Amino acid sequence: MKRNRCEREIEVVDALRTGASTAELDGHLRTCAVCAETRLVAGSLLRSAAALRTQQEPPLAGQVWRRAQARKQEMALRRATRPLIFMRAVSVVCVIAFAAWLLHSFWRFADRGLIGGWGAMAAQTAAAGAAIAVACIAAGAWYLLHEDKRQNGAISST
Amino acid sequence: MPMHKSDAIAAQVAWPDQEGAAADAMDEIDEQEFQSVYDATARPILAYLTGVTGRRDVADDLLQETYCRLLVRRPPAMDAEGTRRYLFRIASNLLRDRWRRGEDRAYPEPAEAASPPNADTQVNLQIDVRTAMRAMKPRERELLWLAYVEGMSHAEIAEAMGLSAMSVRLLLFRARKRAAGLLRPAEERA
Ligand SMILES: [Zn+2]
Repeated sequence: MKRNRCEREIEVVDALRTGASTAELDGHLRTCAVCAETRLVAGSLLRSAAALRTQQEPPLAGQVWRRAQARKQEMALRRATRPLIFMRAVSVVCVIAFAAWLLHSFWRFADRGLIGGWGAMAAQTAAAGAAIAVACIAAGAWYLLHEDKRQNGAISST
Repeated sequence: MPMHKSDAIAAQVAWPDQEGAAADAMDEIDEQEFQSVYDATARPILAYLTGVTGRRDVADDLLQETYCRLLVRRPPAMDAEGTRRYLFRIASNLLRDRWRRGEDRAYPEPAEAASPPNADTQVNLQIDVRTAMRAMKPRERELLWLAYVEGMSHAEIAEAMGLSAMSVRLLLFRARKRAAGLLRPAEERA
């Protein structure tokens, strides 16, 4: 069965990386197909990498440092506005809950005919009006939350 | 062989202990300290990113993002070798995210050398390696680079790439076979 691993592969790669081989390892390379294959691939990649490392100039460290500083500021800003966003969400929930409670109470009163002087039709019209008002509040609340999310998304994508 | 010893990082970075701590603790790593880490690691990482993506512009962008994340995330204190491995891990994660999003999966075609074949061995080698890399899957390119250029162990590669050591062994074997098949004709030609 053809071998697909050799315990000396690591040695071969190390020798190529450091440029320090031994006569014994060279002898092994002549007889081991696995290590010869490793030498071919690792040697080609190492020579290519060495060329890239000398040819390519990385961006200036200062430029990277400034980018990280800007990111840090964005994160600090986001952290600072987090309680504000939370309070906004809480207030939206409160408004919706209050509107729902109001609507529910109104309906109960209308059902029991407790609204003096109003006919059934008038009560229904008023209920519909209140429902529209609640829907408007909900839509407004959704918009506010959506705006918050959008602004946060814009910050995080920079 | 002219090799930059990537583990020759001069400075040991003393990162703040808590990862979740406020970002202003980042000031504890001053610009000079960062500069020394960057000087010791930026070239190997840029070579990795260019070698694996085949694109310098993408590599530049990912390199900057890699260091940005290192500074912003502030991992626990680690030695020079640990910092180097951590940087390769971030870079590999960024590559994986990019490929998952379907961005630039294709390796660009290597530019043909203006000189005749074998006129410049170095140029020919670069073209051969790029041609082989182009025929390989992104993950295979990463594996080969980390194993053979960076000399990482299977366990280190597994950590960097989010795979099991067993998968690394199997995938690396396949990748090496494939790469050898692609590079052998070039070697015989030379
Ligand atoms: Zn062998």
